[in-house]
Amino acid sequence: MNKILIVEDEIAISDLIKIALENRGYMCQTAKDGEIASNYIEKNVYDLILLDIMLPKVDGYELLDYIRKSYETPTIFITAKSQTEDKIKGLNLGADDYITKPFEIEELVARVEAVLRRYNKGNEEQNFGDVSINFANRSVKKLGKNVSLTPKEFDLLILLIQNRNCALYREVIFEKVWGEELEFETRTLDLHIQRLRKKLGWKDKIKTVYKIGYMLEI
Amino acid sequence: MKFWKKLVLFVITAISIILSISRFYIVKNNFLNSLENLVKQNSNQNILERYMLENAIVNMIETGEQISNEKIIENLKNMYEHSDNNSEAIAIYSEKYEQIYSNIKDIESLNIESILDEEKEYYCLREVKDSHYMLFSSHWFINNETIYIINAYDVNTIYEERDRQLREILITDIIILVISSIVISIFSILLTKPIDSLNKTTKKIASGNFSERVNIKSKDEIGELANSFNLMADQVENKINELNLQVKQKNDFINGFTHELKTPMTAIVGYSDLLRLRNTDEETSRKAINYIYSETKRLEKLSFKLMKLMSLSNEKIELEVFEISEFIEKMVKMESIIFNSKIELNLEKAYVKGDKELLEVVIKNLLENSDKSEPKDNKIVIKGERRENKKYRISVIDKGCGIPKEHINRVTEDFYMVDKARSREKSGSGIGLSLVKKILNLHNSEIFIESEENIGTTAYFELEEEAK
Repeated sequence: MNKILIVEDEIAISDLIKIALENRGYMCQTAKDGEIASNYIEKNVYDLILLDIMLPKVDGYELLDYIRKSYETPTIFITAKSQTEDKIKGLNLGADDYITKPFEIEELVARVEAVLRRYNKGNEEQNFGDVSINFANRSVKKLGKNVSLTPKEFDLLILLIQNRNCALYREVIFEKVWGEELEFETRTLDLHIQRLRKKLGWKDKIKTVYKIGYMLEI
Repeated sequence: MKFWKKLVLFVITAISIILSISRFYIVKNNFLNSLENLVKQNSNQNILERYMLENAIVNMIETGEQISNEKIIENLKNMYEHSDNNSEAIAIYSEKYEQIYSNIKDIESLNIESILDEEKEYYCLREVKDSHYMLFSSHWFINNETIYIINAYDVNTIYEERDRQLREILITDIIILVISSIVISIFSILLTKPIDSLNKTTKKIASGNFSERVNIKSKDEIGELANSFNLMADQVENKINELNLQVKQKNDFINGFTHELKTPMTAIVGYSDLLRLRNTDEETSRKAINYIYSETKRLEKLSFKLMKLMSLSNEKIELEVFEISEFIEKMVKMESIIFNSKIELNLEKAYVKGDKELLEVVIKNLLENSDKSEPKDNKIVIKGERRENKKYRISVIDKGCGIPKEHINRVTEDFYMVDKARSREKSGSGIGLSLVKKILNLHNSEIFIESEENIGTTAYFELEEEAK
């Protein structure tokens, strides 16, 4: 299980990131300033660090400099500064990626996973029961055999997996997979769910939740 | 062309013209003088010779000798051949301008005939093949016949002298010009050096190095120019620093503002997205809803203060005169419910000049800050006292957590927060004191903050007191 350190002085944000990442199966620790963060980094080993730039005591740039001198932990900057020069400064210091506030939580998770993949820390192939999913080339295997999914089916599968064991509302599932512009069509969603169940043999695992929507139980 | 080169060229040209004109006059006068002397000398000589010839003829007459042209010529020949002065020559012409005798070299080209006709004694200058002759003509009436005698004197010496002078002058003039060129060049370079350094400094300033100054100490016009230039550079530098500061403040404001705006927005969007996608458990839902509420509250406060701040920078305020102690009492009575601490008043009565609504914002902000610092005795004191120079001082005093020394000077900056985490919990935005500062600026006043960590803070400002 990957361990992630979240360095963020806004407790609301660090909590949000923590909830999202823990749900994806990461272990998270939070630090509210640069000093606490550096202590944590010295004591523990992390697979990835999420780093805010505007921090009390020791700011993000300084902390990154310190991390880069002694460790090889991949680091992603999180900041409200969106000017190109700030981005360049961060990337020049050795940040692996850069995400600006306000961000959508899915975007953050996607970036975290991309960086982990780059470091071969994230499993390019993750197993969920008898199904293994390769996030890098978007391919799915069941019992070692390729299962061909349409892009929408794959997106739907990822959404279910990222929020596994949580009941998801139908309208929001539709919006996240098909985009905000399209009008909600329950038939389209139901059809895709049925196909997924059939292709993966997950008839029992993808459950219909009464009055809410669907839930993947693994 | 460089200025110093122009200067050198100009001066050298002037010197050359003056030198050549003066030299020309000197040489010409010298030459004319010597020529005049020579004319005198030669005409005397001529008179002497004629006299001798006359003597010879008179002798002939006395001795009864037949006078003929041949005889005269022979006489003359003798005379000249035995004379010491060999440079002189003679020519004799008949009445019909026929040459009877001549020992003048190249006589043909002298065009002597043209001068024979003259009645009186006459001299002229002729040049033949680099030789200069001074010719004297005289006519004799002998044997009923006129003969002309031309005496020629070699005057090459004065021409040679003139040429020699000219050569010397040429050499000395060249030497003078060379030396003066060098001297003038040195002077010109020295004189134009300050201009050069002025130019270099100007270029440096133009390339963005605004703190560059000219270092010219001379008291002439260039020194004055350098002084004025430095003054101008000071002004420009000040203005640019001012502008840079403004840009920086604006950038800081925008950075602070975006940070203050984006952080709650990220949280609100994130949590609400979480809630609407998933059927979350009770605990997570409570947490998410609480965050959404507090972050929205924060945004609300921020937007309220920002609007106030913006409206302040746009309009000029109207100041009115009112009684301050009563005003503060009323205000505190209405607002005290929102503060945790008890508010104690200690106010002297006085009339002050100000904008009631804005001053309420100031006092409320100061009270909020004191309240957030959690005073140990759970008490905030508002003190109002009359000071010298018709000033009324309002102080807000608490025994709260205080402000660390290194932060005191910065607390009035936009979005500056001493302890962000702490400030957040109390939905502080970091903009309160900058609002206070702006309002007080409009009252020609400013905020003073004295604080010691863990002991307490006193914030005070002064207003203009009015008699009523």
